[in-house]
Amino acid sequence: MHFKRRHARDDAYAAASDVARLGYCERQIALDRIHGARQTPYQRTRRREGDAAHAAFLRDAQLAGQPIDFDQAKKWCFVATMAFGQDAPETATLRRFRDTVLRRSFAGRMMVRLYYRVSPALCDRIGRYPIAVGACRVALRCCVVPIARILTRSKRCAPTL
Amino acid sequence: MTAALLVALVAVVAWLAVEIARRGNASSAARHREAEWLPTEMRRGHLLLAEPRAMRIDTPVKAAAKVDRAYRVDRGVIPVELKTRRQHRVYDADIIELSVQRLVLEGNGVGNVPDTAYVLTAHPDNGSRRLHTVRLIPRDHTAALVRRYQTIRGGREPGQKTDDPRRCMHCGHLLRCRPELADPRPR
Repeated sequence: MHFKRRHARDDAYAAASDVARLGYCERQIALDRIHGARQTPYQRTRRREGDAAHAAFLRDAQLAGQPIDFDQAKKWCFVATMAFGQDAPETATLRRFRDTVLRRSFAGRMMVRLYYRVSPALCDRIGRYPIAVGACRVALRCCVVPIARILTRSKRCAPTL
Repeated sequence: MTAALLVALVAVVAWLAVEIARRGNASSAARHREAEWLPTEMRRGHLLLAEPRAMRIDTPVKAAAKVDRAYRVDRGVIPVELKTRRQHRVYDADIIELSVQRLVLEGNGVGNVPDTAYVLTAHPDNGSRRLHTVRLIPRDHTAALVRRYQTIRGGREPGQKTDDPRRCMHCGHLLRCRPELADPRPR
């Protein structure tokens, strides 16, 4: 049986999924604290099924192309996020390039649309192989440097009042 | 050199064309799957959040939540919780989870979450999905539940055992907590 000790702090944030366990059994919460969370093979199987279903659910949301509002939409930059992370400076540079250069022209907007169409699947493929992610990172870094120069130049050339 | 570059460019364009066609099929399949369960008000609304990073609040309680999906519709922001089950039914735990998500979403300024939300149950074998409308627990009661959880987790109370022994059958603490229910067969 898999044994996982969990040391819960009193002032830690209570996760919604953990609070939900009050609906199953309060005593289990206390026993997990004392003896550690114990997962049976049945629970592990159910967990794997749930993870797979959630991954498919997320993929459906991306593939169905539903319009996304809120900051989450503007933050999406699939390949760069996969390669560098959501808050990396390289990702921020590419986002700025998308918003300040590409989106201003028809061709640029078409490129952005195409990118959002293929990038979830691309990330899905590339993300399985760490070597591919590394290669992607190197390739993107080669693009980020000239893009950063373009952005800096366009800022300098911007008309000032 | 020019010929090699041209060949490479043609290869990339051809690959993109194939990928777009394939994605187009996958997108239509995804849209069809979505249309099977998505209610009209959410189809007209916007998908606001799809598994974003976990959000936190400090008041009225310290809680965190990661929503599966949240839609902005006329009456507010509606969270949808996906559950993988062999029976299409909703449990109290699902309602508690969505109620805590409401506190967290509102505390993060996402918008007002009305009193009804959705649980989407998905069968892991045949992939069938069914949407259930649930009524959320009032906010002050939800905060009390969070405090109750923190009390038990903090060791200040032992917590009540479940009154449904069927829930014990797959618990890792069965032998310790309810040895009278323990099955001699290996789990």
